[in-house]
Amino acid sequence: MRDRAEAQAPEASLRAAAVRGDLEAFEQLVRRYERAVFSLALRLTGDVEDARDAAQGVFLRMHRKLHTVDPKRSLSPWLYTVTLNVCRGIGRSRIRSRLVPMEEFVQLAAVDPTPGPERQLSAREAEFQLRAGLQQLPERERAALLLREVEELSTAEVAKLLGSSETTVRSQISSARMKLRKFFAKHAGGKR
Amino acid sequence: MNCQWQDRIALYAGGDLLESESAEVERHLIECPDCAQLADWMAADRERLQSRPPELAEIDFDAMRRELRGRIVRGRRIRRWAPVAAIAAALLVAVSIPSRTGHRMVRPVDPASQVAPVPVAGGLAKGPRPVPAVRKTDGRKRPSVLRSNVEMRLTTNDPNVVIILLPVTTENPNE
Repeated sequence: MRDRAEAQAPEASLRAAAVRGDLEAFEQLVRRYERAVFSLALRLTGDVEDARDAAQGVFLRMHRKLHTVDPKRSLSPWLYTVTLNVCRGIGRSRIRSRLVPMEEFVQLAAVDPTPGPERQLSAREAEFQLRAGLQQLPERERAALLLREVEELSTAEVAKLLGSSETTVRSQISSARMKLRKFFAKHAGGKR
Repeated sequence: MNCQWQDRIALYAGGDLLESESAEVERHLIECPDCAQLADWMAADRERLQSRPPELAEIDFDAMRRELRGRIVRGRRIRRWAPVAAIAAALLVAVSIPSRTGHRMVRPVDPASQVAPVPVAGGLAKGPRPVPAVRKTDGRKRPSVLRSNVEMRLTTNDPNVVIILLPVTTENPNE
């Protein structure tokens, strides 16, 4: 956990120091974003090890390219873009190969003593099911949904990051929500 | 269920509709229990998406940062020494090329040193393969440490192909 001084250090000065080669300042920046980057990578890739590798890759790239980021603009959108690219680069085959097969999840659901719509999933089961559902989505729909829901960006911001129009992004987000709902309904006994 | 409403409910659940569109969806939800149920489920899905992964509490971010720092420091070392290594390599090449070409390659070849052509490809030459003669091409006394080195000039059936084996010439300052 970062201490109060670190939390209050202005990002602009940290960025300037990091660009000058100050490793401590760079690490403070990493602390600020590591959880968000890791979470996004985890939901994008569906795998903890892939997410860890992706986070390392994102911050290594940040270290090399920080001087190219406009200091007047927030670092978040740039980091999200890099995270999307790094996760894409990790390789779909590797990502898919690490996904837990759906049969395993179905088995989990079967042993629950109170199956059905009222069944309360544990946090881990819910997360597991969520990742499996996200992996069913087309890559761009998944990215659009996660940026909108998890990172709480506006559709305009998501569109800019993904290089799409707002209309396209709204359509992708709507489609992703529907597919995810159908997936949950099918695999968790939830109503639709 | 009407598919047109599904899409709009999906956007409504995330607050992605204009105010007027949201009001229209809300009026529909009052009249349609199925769509109201869908909207509730989508709101729950959204909460699930916004929750942090449980693994977040288990990840050792300090270790990740240490690894990151190590990789950055190693990268810096490589970048720092790369120009020095490049200059050293260039100097090595600059020193070794004249010693190979300046004294040996440009020297006129004594016709007597020519040896019988050596066939380079099996089946082209008939009869026993001649053994190439080996001789020194200069008469200088060589430093004792280099006397075991052999310099050879071999010619082949192809006049454009000459094989020259040269020793590295390092003069012994003590001699």
